[in-house]
Amino acid sequence: MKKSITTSSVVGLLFAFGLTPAFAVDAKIYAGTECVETYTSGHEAWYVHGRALNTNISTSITMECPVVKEIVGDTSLASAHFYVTDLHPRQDVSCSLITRDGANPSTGYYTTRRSAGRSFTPQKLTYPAQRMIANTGYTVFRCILPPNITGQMGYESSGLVSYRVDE
Amino acid sequence: MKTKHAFSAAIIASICGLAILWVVTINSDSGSMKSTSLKPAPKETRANNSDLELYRDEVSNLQQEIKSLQIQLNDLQQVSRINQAEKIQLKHVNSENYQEATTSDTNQNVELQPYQQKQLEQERLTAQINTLEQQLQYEDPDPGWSNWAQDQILNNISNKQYTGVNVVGNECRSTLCRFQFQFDNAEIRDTAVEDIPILVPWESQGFFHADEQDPLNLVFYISREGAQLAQVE
Repeated sequence: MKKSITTSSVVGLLFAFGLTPAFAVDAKIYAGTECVETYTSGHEAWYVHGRALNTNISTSITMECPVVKEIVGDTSLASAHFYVTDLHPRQDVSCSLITRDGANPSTGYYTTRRSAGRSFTPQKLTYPAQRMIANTGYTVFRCILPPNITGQMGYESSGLVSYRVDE
Repeated sequence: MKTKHAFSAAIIASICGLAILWVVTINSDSGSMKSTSLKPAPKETRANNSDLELYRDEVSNLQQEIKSLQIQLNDLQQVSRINQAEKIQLKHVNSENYQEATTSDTNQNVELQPYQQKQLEQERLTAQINTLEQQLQYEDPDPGWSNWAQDQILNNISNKQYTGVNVVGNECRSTLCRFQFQFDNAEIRDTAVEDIPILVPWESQGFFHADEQDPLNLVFYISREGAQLAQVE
């Protein structure tokens, strides 16, 4: 009883003094087909139904997915998430959110998230707020798609479904 | 005749004695009934008093909790005010136009001069590096993780067979790793910067920066899975 009174008092006070969660002001959602294969990969991604898939039977591919940063003068991204399909029995789909400074691209932050096991249902990779040193710069997702070891075109391929970034 | 009178007197006397005895017994019974009927009242009063004392204690405890919560809230507000003030101060540190900027700064939307912006970024960069270096200094290596983590990253880099990328330093503590790279040229460095995060075989957060004196020398700080990277405001 005492505990519940204390908890509700704290919650009440926090809300009363305006410590409520901040909501994103600018959100952008992109299809997986926005992503392009990096030149170092050497294989071609397959684009279907808005998704980018790796149909290669033996090699992982690296994909780069652009993010348009619209709010200039702010040094952080509020949050982001990426929907991926992981159909490899052992390897994960991994995506890194990378923010680099405009004037000095050798400075920046990243967050990497990985899929959790094989599943036909798209998995959501969630990214927390990420800072930048400078107030200008660029942001990109870089993902690794494991190979399609069954060789069944499309059906068993890991892929990038869609992604969203909130400024 | 005399004997008959004496017998009658004895009977009368015994009847009187019995009557007196009955009266005394009745009186003593009614007295004891009175006392038992009065007994519950003080009991009830005692019970009410103890309940009241409990309620009083509860109320006083709650009042004390409210007081301590108010103190905590005041502290939080104080910290928030200090942070706000520090943010504004940081924006204008060493600024020649401090007064002018302060008066026009109503909601932190200050248009900084390019050199002020550069200075602010430099301070933020230094603070970020110092924060992570201090964390490395204070952390001990985790025998169950540090060596494994270093080997995993080194193996993945080696498997990539990069040309022009050399690992010149690496160490992992309990929740943070530091890798130092030397690149042959800026193009290789700029490509590798985006490759390295996906070569870390666990979910991680990181920060990277090039050495001011030697821009081809790059340092990567990589957090352990589940540990949040300290990011400066």
